[in-house]
Amino acid sequence: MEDNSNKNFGLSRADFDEMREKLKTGDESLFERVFVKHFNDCRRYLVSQCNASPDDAYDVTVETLIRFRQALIEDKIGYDNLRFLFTQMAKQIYLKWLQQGKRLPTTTLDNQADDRAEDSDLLFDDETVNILEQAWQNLGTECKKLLKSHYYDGIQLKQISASIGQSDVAVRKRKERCMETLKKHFFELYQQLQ
Amino acid sequence: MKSVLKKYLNNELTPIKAERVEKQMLTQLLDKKQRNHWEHLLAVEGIERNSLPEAPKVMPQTAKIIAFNPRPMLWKAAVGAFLVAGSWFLMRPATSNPVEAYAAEMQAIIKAPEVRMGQNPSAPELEWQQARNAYANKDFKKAGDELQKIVEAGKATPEQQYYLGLSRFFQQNPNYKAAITAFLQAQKDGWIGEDELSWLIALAHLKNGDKENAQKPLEVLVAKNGYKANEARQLLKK
Repeated sequence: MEDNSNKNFGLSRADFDEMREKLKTGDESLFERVFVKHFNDCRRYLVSQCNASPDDAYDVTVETLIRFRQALIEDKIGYDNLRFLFTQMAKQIYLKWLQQGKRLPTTTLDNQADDRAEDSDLLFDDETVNILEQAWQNLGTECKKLLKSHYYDGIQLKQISASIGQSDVAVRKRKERCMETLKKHFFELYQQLQ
Repeated sequence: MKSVLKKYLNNELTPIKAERVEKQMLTQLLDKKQRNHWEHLLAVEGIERNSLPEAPKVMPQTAKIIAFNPRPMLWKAAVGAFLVAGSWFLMRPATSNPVEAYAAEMQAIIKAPEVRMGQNPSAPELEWQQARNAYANKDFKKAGDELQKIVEAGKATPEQQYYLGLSRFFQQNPNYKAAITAFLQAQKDGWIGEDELSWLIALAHLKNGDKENAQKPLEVLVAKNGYKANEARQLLKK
């Protein structure tokens, strides 16, 4: 069997599957170990192929890691040539970043929506995100985990309820309560700062 | 206020649209947290934003640094391990106490935070900058005192709680109880380096002579079988 591990950051197919499954359950340790080792390789690619400065390449590579992680969780990336996919994704993000006056393209629900007028009003500015960050501090750990799993990692509530042994209805209600709490704190802070 | 946000806060959106707003808000927030987390992780690994070392000459082997099928490289790994162990033996701290050595290791690898300020920085931002500078200069007492001011003003982020814990841990006259309190707060507030916090909490308890309370965080690390699991296992045996 052909050894593709070099094209895939040293990962065998089994390692790749393990990394992806771990990511889906919130365990990022393997993903982090792999990509910390290859972080500077990607920066060098951006510096040599796109004339990026080391500083800019740093920001863009971090952004690429975030997108790549998301794509792995959503099964949009398979085991093939991860190194190539990663560097191409970094290059695209870098070019878009230049087009937008060195502002990182904001992640949107389908990663393309910032080009679509109907969704442009769904992008929040830094100030709004900072307020949300303060509101987030008021949530308990369990709420944070639940909201992150559902909204950020895209895990269905059914899967969450199965993994923690609670009914779908209970988990749905808990998610709604957590979101209501976050919204309430956000609203209060937003009003204070206006 | 942007119209969609206003409508969302006033419950004027359809459930589907409201769900999209919530997802988008949390995506942007958690992306930001991921960025901070990666910057911290990279700093711990010595990867700096403004310097990019030359590529290693033996590029094809870079993947094998983390390869999970090490058989072909076994003899090289054995030689490497021998050399690393030898260097460690020669350079190890002059102490036979592993807790001391682990604490010294953490102090060596955890660098000062990166602090970015706006054009008109607020008082907590200035204190954060001063804390950062003091931490970088290994003046941990001063760093802790600056961070304490931010905490007392009720403005501390999980990252600041984390650095407060580190400062209290590493200062000349350590205050382990204060360090543990800050680490626990950082953990409660969702600081992403959860395993590292468990490790630091365990070390702080052990340094404080409290084996009983060190047990739980060590057991958590062993159960996860990841970060510092072997070290935690060894400490639990003692």
